[in-house]
Amino acid sequence: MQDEKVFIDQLLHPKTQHEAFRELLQLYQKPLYNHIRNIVLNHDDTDDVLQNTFIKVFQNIKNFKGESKLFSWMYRIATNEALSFLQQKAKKQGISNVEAQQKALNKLESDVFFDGDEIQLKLQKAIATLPEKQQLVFKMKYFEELKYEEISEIVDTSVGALKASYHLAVKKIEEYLKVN
Amino acid sequence: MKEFNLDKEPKIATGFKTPEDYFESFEARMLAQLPKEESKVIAFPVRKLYIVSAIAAVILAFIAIPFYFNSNTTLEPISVESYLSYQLTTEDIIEKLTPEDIVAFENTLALSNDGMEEYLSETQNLDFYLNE
Repeated sequence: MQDEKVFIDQLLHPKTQHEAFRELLQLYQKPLYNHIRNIVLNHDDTDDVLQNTFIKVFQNIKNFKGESKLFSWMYRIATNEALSFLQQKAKKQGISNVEAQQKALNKLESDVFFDGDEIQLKLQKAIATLPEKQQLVFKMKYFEELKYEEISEIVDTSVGALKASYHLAVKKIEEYLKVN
Repeated sequence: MKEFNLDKEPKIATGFKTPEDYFESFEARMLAQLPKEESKVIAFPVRKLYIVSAIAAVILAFIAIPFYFNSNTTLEPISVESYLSYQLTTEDIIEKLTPEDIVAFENTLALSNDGMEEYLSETQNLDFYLNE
């Protein structure tokens, strides 16, 4: 991408923002969709969260200080939106976050937008056994193939801590897959 | 129990799919939500607003006052008559009339004797006037 500062200026200027926002969508809608989908699992929910994410990005771009990369800033918004969406959904249903995730997993088998085989479904179930932070780190590293440095900027955790978290997550998942 | 090593096994994909043309329609939906280029709304400081309001009020007063006073000085004859009929009694008017005024009235009214008799005959208090 061109110089990020110039691009942000284009997003802020009324004359150029439409075209700049189109470019932003083309660049980030797929990776952010995948990131959110990995957290909320269901397509329709992902669609809602992705919309909210881009709306927030557009509304808050004027406050973006450039302290982190635009990429990390957007991922951070998407992560927060997805996690708070899950919390609100569980609250509405009067169940815990863990129960809500279990419910979403059970629905996955009949989901028309999930064509995973047995091992893919097992992996999702194995991930669901992990604590929230480990789940997040594992998905970002394993599925989304982000670098530790990038994840570090998104979740505001040191690279060392992330490596330890990922290593622990892998061990638990391998154990789950071995047993199940 | 089979050992499982994530790093050695082929990469396991998520298995998630998206509806056909989802990203194209998503882009269009998002772009449609963008605000159109708006004319800028310039915030007007409250203190300045008070000052401008005060100036406007003074200018308005300067324009309105002459109209107000002019309208009082050019009175219509009907308004004067109406005002006098409420404020003055017949006795007040008679008191102010001079013989010359009465002659002038008679000339203006051009009263005939027949007309006078006819008027008096219709007046209910004729006896009272005759005895005065």
